[in-house]
Amino acid sequence: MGLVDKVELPQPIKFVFNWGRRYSLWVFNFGLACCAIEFIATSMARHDFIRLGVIPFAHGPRQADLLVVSGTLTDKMAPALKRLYDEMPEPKYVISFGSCSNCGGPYWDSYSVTKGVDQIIPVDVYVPGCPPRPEALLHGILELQKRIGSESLKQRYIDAGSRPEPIVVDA
Amino acid sequence: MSISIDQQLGGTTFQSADGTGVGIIVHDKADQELRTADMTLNVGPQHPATHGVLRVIVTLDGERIESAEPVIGYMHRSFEKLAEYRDYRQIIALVNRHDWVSSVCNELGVALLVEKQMGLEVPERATWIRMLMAEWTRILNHLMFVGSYPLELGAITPMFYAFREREEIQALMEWITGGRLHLTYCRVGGLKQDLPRGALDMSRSLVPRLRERIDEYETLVLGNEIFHARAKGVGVLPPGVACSYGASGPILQASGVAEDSRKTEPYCFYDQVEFDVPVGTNGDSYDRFAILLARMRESLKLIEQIHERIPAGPISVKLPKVVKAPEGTAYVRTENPLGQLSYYLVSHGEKTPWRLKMRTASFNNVSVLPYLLQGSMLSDMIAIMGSVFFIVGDIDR
Amino acid sequence: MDAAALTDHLVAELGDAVIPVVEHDLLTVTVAPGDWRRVAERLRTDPNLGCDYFEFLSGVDEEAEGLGVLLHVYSTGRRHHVQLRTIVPREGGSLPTVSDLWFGANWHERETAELFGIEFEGHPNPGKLLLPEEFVGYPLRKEFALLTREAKPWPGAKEPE
Repeated sequence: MGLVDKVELPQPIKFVFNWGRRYSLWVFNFGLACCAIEFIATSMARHDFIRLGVIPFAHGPRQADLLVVSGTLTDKMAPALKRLYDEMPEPKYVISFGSCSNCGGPYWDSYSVTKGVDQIIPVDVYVPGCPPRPEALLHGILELQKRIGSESLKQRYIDAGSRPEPIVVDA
Repeated sequence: MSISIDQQLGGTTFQSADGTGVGIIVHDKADQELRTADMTLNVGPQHPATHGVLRVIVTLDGERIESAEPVIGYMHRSFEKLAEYRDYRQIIALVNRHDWVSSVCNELGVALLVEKQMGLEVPERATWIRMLMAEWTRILNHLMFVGSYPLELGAITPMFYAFREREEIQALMEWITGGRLHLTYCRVGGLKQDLPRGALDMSRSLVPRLRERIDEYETLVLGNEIFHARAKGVGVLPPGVACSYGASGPILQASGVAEDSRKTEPYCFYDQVEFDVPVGTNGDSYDRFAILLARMRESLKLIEQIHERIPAGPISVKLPKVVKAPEGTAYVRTENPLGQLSYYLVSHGEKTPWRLKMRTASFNNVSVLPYLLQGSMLSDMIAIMGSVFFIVGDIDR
Repeated sequence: MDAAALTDHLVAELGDAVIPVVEHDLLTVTVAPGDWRRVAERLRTDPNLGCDYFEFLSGVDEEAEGLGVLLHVYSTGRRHHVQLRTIVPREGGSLPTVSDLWFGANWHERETAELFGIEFEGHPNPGKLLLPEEFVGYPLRKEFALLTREAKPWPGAKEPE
């Protein structure tokens, strides 16, 4: 991204850049299981998240900046998730939606389930629930937008140990 | 020209029959005809058009599909092994999550199975309410596919309409059980809790609204000429093949076989109510979709009849502190919205099952895909795959 | 045909190759592995039985006796269910395939083979179905332990107060 992530930007410019980024998040919907149904319900007319600027029609990972993993991740599917995450350009954010992707959920003792998506990719927001209500996803997106608004890209990419603590949305 | 053509091109010449000219047959250096190669295309597992994580490896000859092999297992969460470590209440909570758009219908099978093995007599009120919830869940499930199948064919509007209906029915489900998607309402011996005040009135007021909306879907989708062109005659499944594969539900009924567990082997009180089993004639994608709408109408008819029949009474049987199924085997078959869902239990008398086999509708339905896709065009692939109405959690369990 | 009539018919046809058991109105016929194919063909082709609808094929771990394999078929014309059962040894157990009689058995046999470790001879496309290629072990056998449970005991094992 050139200069933007190497230099600590002055506050007015940082504000404008972050304002642009947080209100136009293109989401790559990695819908795996039941939580994908609640994700689709959140994008529909009743609990619309398109009004928050989150557009669910990214054509692929290369045109997206938010990845919402909703549903159980199995060991067979995990390489595909890693590959698609790597294909997304920076800066990118991950919301882990539902308890299966947070920590394995009701399948915590299964031999074929990855116990939590954070074993493979770094997560920014955890939304707990089985499945979480659409309002919980809206809350998670708003928290993420707040975090992006106050973010400094230099801190995120250059400073060592800079990845901030992930947000856990309380139910 | 001083050099003759055949010497330049290295081919053989022949005189055309009417004497008008000379033809040349050309061979390349290796004296072979020009050949094309088949292409192998990988669809999925992450793909916007497949419902969830289903991967299909398609071998193409131009636009025509020579063979299609579905690769499943990306959602295999090992339910059958986990069931051996969980007691029956935990199994009911877990089993909701397999066919994740029809929650109560999954649980109903497990509850009936354990009650059969234990010889429990479920109170009437509980059985009628179970049927009511099962029919509303059936409509929820079919609405999902009524919304997503036209989306795959290019029509975006039915999706929004279908989800509007789903939200209204889910509000009713939430009023009764507290959950939107995974209800965990059935218990061994009855139900979790009684119907709250106003639930039956809410349910009664929803029925006429749903009815007029289904009419709307019929005119919007079934009458559309683009839908006709894309779905009629596409993916024809003969009835003998469908039975041999073990296909069930709308797919089997569209092929002409009227096999519905609610009619042929009634469970709960399905023999005391009147409804029809709609059957298709051609077995193509259009019929499969039309059957969904017809089944929704039958479910509404059933719901109206159930409203009149719910008696007062207890909601569940008093159970011992620890629920143990006696030794032996049991089998129960129910009609899930997607098809036939059966459970087979082997119990050694403990509070966890020894073996619980879940035979889901989508597993057998998706195994028909190689037969349906062979010989069709690539552009019909999505129309055929979408018309098989599967849920990936149901395939892989 | 109900379970009693089915039992009589099968015993009359096949003699003591079959051991019938009726539980909750469902007939389960136990045969030796050598008779598996013969009896399955009989179920498919006999006009009185006419089992054209394939329900499932799966396994049950019977511990000391071996691994049980269960085939459940249904007749759409006559509305009856029949279950065919056999026991194969734990090591090297194999059965002939029935996927040419019922096409649905193709995937069910693949699943049973990878989860229990039973071979089906003559299967047109054997190979893993649900599990990833690099998976080792046969999960549904009783000796396959769930590692997460080994690490932490199951809280539900205590009886409720």
